[in-house]
Amino acid sequence: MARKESGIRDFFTSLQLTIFLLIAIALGALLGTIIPQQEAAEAFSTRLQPAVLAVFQAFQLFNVYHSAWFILLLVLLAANLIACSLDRFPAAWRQFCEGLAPDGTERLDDLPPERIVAAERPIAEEVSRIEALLRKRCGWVRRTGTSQGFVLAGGKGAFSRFGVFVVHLGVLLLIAGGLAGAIFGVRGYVEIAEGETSNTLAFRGGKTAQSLPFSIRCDRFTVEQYENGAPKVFRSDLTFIRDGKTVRQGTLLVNHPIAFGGLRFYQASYGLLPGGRLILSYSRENGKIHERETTVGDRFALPRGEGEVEVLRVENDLMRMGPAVKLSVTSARGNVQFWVFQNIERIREANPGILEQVPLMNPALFAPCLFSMQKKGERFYTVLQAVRDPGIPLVAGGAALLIVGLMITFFFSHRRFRILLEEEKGKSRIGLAGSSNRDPVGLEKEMNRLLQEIGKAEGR
Amino acid sequence: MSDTAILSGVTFVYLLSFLLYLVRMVRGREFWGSAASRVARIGFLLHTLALLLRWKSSYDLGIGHAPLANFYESLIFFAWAVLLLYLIIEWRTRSRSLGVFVIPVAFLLLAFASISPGVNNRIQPLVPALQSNWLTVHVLTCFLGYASFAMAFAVGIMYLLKERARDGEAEEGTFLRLIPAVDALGELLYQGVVLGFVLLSLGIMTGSVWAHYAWGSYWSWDPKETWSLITWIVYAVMLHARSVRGWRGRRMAWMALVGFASVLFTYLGVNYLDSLHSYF
Repeated sequence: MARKESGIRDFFTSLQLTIFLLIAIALGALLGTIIPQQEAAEAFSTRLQPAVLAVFQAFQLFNVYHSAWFILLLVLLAANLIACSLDRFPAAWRQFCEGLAPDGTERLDDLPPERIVAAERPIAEEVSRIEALLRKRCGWVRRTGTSQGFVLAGGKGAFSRFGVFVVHLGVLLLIAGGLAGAIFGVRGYVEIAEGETSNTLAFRGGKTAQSLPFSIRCDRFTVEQYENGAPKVFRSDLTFIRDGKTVRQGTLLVNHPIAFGGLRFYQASYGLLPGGRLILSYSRENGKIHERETTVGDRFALPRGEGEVEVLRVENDLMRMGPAVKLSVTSARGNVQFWVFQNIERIREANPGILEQVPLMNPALFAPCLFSMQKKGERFYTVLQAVRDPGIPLVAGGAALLIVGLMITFFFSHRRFRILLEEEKGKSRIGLAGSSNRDPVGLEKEMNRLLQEIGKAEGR
Repeated sequence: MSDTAILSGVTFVYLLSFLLYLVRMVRGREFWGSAASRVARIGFLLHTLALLLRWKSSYDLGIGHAPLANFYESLIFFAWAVLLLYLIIEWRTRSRSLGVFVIPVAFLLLAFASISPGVNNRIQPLVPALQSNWLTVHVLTCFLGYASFAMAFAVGIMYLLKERARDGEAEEGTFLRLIPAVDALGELLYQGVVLGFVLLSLGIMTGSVWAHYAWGSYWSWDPKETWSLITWIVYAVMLHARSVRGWRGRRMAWMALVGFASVLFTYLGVNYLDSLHSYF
């Protein structure tokens, strides 16, 4: 029985397991970036053969990051981290507590000659000075008398022995926070038309929904654009209403969520409601301007029998350049098709020469008629993402510990020094030994500096 | 003179510096080395100037932001970070042998930024999702981390070349003789990986904080995020193998190569997958 237990223990405390798990997690994650996931998987899965599809579904390959096997790998990694840390902590604690205790057998002659300096004065006079030197570096020094003289021991950076445990604790908190968020978290969407109120929180895919204990009114939704047409601001002016009373008003912007009623609201999306009117205007040069309310499929004749117009397409935002309609004009000269943009002036300013390069965008392509369009009376709707994630404090704490732990582990080291002083014919010989848990180059440098300081006063 | 014109010039300054480092390695005369080093430093100064100029121009256009906001700007900052780290290492180790391996990385990054038709070098305004102070610190930490890994990668290649010579698999000519001893290379490689690992961790963390505010989720398994995690794991495995299993030398050098391949895929390859990080 004891043997079996130690088998399990060896299994969970082995580095092979850690490395296996890390590689398995990395490969699993990689798979998820190649195979379309969740919503994106639907179109992809129809192209697969039934047998392959069955395999994909059995291994939850369309939802890798929430699949049972991926979560199992994370849980195993957590178990492995806990086991390893518990296994190694006692040794680290001993290292932390122990200085480099002089055991009396250490002799100066065992040190390499370049680590030994000779001093003119007897050791009784040197020892306090050197002890002060070492104390300045380490904060503490233990002095022991030996048959030949003294041994001074000091150490610093002992806390760096714990850095790796801090990192592992951080990773555990990250995993715990991630799982807590996945299990107890809520994520949904609230869609509100301008001027209207909603309390419906719809969940992913729009199949299920729940009512919120308060409602939200979208007073206004605004899109602002830069000169080149790129979006500048998406803004929802919101009012939170509880029991018929306005509790809070606020402006929701991307990167500036609003927290209310235990949820955080984010600006997620927006759109135009159907129902706006589309006004198409056309005129000859300096001629009378005709206006016509139109829609897709509308056909009408131009005055004086110049041609027949058909509205082929209507777009709210074509290629991020705003509303546009596609017209087809048939006349005795043949058929021409082109887009008429609402913001054609702005597009021309931002892209000089574009009408010559892309005739398809020229509203005067059917010369001498010039077309323009305008949308009137349209309304936006805004989509808010609402999130509750109880795992966030754990994740934030875990991330902070991870970073602090990495700094402790990699930028500090536990360096221990031992200085041996021996009397020789009324003079002293002083030797320096040192050890470190990492960064041998740094230790070497510090020992050289220390040795220099020891030798300096000697050369007075 | 516009920042992009200066940067095209800097590309050739780095090419010249690389050629001079190469001549030094072949001829073995320090005269060429000090010339290469001087040219690299001049290039770095011009490079810094161009970044500052670009920063200022963005304010003149009324869309002021640090030049870290699109793919072009990330490429030129990546190259700048590589040079910065290299010049620090050259100054600290007083060895110029790394130059012939590192300067071409910066040269290629800048050349790609200047020449590739798919890279838009215009200063663009920030779309709403990018309007955040986290943008600057996220990009800064990530690319300094990438530059560290690039350094470890270059040292890894030097290590493998040098080791072949030591084992008698290749003849040690002037070129290989000028590469430092394998022990020193191993230490330098380790330090590059450690610095990169800490910076990558910070980069992922700052990205998470930003995503928390911008997208409402600190982690969305977006391909870029996922690949940054994969890269993080590769280096985590490498550091564990070293500290627990005592891996040194050749294995670490190979791991530095694998790690950098993962960095490059995180940076460039992911753009061929569907990603929220389409800005970079």
